Amino acid sequence: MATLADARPGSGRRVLYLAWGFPPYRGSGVANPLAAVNALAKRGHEVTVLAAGTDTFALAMGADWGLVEQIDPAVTVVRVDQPGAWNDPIASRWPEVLRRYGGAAPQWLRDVEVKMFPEPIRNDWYPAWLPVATAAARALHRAKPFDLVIATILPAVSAGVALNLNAAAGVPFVVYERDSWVFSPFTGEPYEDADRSRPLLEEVFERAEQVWYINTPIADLHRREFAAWADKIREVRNGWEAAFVPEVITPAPRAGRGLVFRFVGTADVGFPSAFVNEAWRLARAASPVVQDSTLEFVGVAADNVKAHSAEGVKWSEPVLKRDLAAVYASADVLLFIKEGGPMATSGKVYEYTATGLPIASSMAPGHDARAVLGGRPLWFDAAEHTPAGLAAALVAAAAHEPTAAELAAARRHGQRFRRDLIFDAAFGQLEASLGW
Amino acid sequence: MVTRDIAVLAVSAGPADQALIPAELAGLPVETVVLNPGPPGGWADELRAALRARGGRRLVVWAPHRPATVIAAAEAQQFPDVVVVFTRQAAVGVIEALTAGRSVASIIHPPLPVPDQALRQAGAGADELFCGDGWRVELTDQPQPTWLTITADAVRVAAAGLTPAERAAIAERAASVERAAPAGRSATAAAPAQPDGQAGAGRRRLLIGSANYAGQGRAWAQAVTDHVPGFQALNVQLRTLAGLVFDSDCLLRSESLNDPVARVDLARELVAPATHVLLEDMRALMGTSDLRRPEISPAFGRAEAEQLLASGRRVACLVHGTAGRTPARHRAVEPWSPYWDPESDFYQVRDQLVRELAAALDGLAAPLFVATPDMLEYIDGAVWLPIVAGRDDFRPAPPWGRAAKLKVAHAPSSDVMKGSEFVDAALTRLDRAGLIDYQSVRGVPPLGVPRLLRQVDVVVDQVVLGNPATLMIQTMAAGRLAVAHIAEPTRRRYPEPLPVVEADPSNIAEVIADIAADREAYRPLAEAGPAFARRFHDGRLSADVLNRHFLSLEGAP
Repeated sequence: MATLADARPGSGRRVLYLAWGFPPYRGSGVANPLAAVNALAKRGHEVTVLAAGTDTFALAMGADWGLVEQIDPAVTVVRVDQPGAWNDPIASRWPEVLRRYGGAAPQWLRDVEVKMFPEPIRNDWYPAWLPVATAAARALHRAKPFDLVIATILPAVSAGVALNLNAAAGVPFVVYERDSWVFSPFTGEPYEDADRSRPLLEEVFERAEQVWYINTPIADLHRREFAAWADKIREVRNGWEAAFVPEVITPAPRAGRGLVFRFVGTADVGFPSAFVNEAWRLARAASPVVQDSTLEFVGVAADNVKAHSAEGVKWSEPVLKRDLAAVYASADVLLFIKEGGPMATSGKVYEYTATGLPIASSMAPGHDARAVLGGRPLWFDAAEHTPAGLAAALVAAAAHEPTAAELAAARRHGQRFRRDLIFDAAFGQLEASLGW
Repeated sequence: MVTRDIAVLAVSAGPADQALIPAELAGLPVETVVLNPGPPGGWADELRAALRARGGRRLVVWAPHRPATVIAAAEAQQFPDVVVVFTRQAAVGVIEALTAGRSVASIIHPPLPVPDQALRQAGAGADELFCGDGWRVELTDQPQPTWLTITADAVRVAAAGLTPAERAAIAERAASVERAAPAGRSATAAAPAQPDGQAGAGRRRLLIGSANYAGQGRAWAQAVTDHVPGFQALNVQLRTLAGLVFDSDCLLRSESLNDPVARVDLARELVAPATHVLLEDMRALMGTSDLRRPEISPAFGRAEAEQLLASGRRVACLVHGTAGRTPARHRAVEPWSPYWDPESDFYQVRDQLVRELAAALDGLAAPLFVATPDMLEYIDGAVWLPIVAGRDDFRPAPPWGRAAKLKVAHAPSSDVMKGSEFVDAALTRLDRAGLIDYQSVRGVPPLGVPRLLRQVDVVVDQVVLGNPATLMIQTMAAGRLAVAHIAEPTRRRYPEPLPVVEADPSNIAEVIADIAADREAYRPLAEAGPAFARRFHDGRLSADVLNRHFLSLEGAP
């Protein structure tokens, strides 16, 4: 596909990419903005990223410096630390007023933060980024004007910065909503405080060039709810990066050995660990192969989900992105389980499909991950979304040793979700719509 | 990086903490101090002893029990190179940062966010920066009149009273790559900007701070940058604990004001580089009055103003309504004045504020500005600096008055100062009678104001004060009909009729009912708003006022 750089070398546009969570941020969803800015740079555009500061991640949330190495060297990254004394884990920085409250800010102080910006679920940390990031964006634009701003959420505060820059200087923008600012991706219902955020999302729709969503159900929901601007809505799915998935995985012959079942990804406080543990116990009871196998969780896991793990379940620390390929290469079966329904897809399912490995899964009917996995060989899906259903899927995956042809076909199925292809299409239509 | 000089100490206040503490963190062994059970009163001594025993190493203290965390953080202030954290992840992160070469001081005292930081990261040239690499910082053990002093070519900080971490952080600032003031570079304003747009001998920089009410400090700064050749302007807002936050180039949270390092950053990045400083309400910018409990009230602002003048910088003062409007005088001329009760705390507090400001201004040879023309009646010798409606305020709005029912909004920033009890009572009655659609909203974030304005036909601003305030200006710019009480003397300050419908509590209901009944009669007034706002409130006039009466003045004031 021809790019602007091909057609007119050096004539790329200046793009400001607003992504609060950007490497070394290692949290859920970071691969998306990383791939996006790299794709924009490859298309010949001059890209500046505005993200939260490295201290925000390195000192408080955990950092993956290996991801920083993946950033295209042509991309400029500007970082503004996330303020927020009330949530600072560095107690040496606590202001006197917080110490007077015993280190726990009272609700009225937190509510003041909430008023600054309607982040979903009345989050009182992210809003404070709005003024400092806006000031930085404005200074950058004044020094060398941008042609376009792309803001990716969540957190939604990045969209607030885009709105501010549009209001102050008329810079056109796109909001890549991915999930929704107003509706829960797990239930499809409005968040409890949606009456605060909805007016601002309407403002986004009114002013933005386009608004992108991560899957068809979320996009369709917003086409219905914001019908006046339905023509601005696009779907830009997540995908997978070749850097993190081995080109070919050939599992070792099973020959009666125990297998390695692996879950790769984040297991936060809402992860259905009891469900999974019960399924594992049932599967072990039903299958000697599973009884000899291990189920390993690799990634960030909340403390509560690790409690009461069944026999054979292991928890491993998160690995750097650059080491992910090895994690996949040594697995026999991948476990996919994701809370939510039609609105939820997960980012990890794309990577899973690309490996070609057998996938055992359980999810609610209508879960959007089915749109990714549907038709893929070596997919063992629970007939019903219950521990017994998942146990049966695990047993079935254990009983079926994949052939080379099946592995290859499964890998081919995943090719359509290669992220660089997805972004090429997305940015290509955006450039055309902007008349670039 | 060698880690043998880093120690990790976990503080256990009970079995629950003990269960969380691992033997190692980030590859380093974890020592544990187990606090005596019972009330936290004795923990300070235990923690102090534990900190003393660390043997000169850099120490990361992880205290997961909040009362212990607070005490540990307080005790640690007296020791160099100790960081106290609340979470395990933070402990790991700090250990890794120290291992990679970060200093404790840089972790505890990160730099104050200023626009130049972003520009430096983006590789901006010196011409694009407000302060270049930052003004030179001198840390001295010699006694000084104030703990922080701005001179012609440096920011001088007296070390007495600083904690070891504060001292180290400021020393790092002093040692960072900063040019000493090069020959010719000083705070003294160079030749004034020429009317024909030619810059003077050096670039001039204006700093405005720190009230930023309704974002006007930022707006005036933008106006100067856009329309006064040779000048770059920034603003700073000092945000009170619960105050509204408006768009600002630098936001200093009041809880950070007690941090001397943050104030040194403010001084070196924004105040010292400024050749001109516009103080709002004579509020002190840097809190030079005291290291720990800085006062920003006008008396201390006056002291800072004197210091800035002595250093060769030019200073002006802008007086906002609350600080300049004498309650007794307002009460005498405005029948619906909110200052109607001289015995009330409301009256007494504001009266005191006005007196303090007047005292601070007395004898100060500096240009004086007021933001609204009514204030010219209260501040002798002041010049009116018009409120600025931003670019977005002029965004075309839907055609006026086409809805089935007239849409009316009241969005006060202060119920008392806007007369909201009168407005709400009257307009709610009209709404219930089916004559209008009325919405009375509070706490509209700045981002939400444009949307609100485009959704309504009429905005009722204040009906008791008599001042043309920011929302009224924005309403005009948006082509909506503004209704407010603007006293006749104030209206006459404009060289042409003000397209604002007059109303006060005695007649607000009738006025709105009349508009609803005969929209066509009022349409010209609504449609005249944008052009009027452009002539007087789009920033050009404000920039010209600042330039003529302050920025281009020759010599020392």
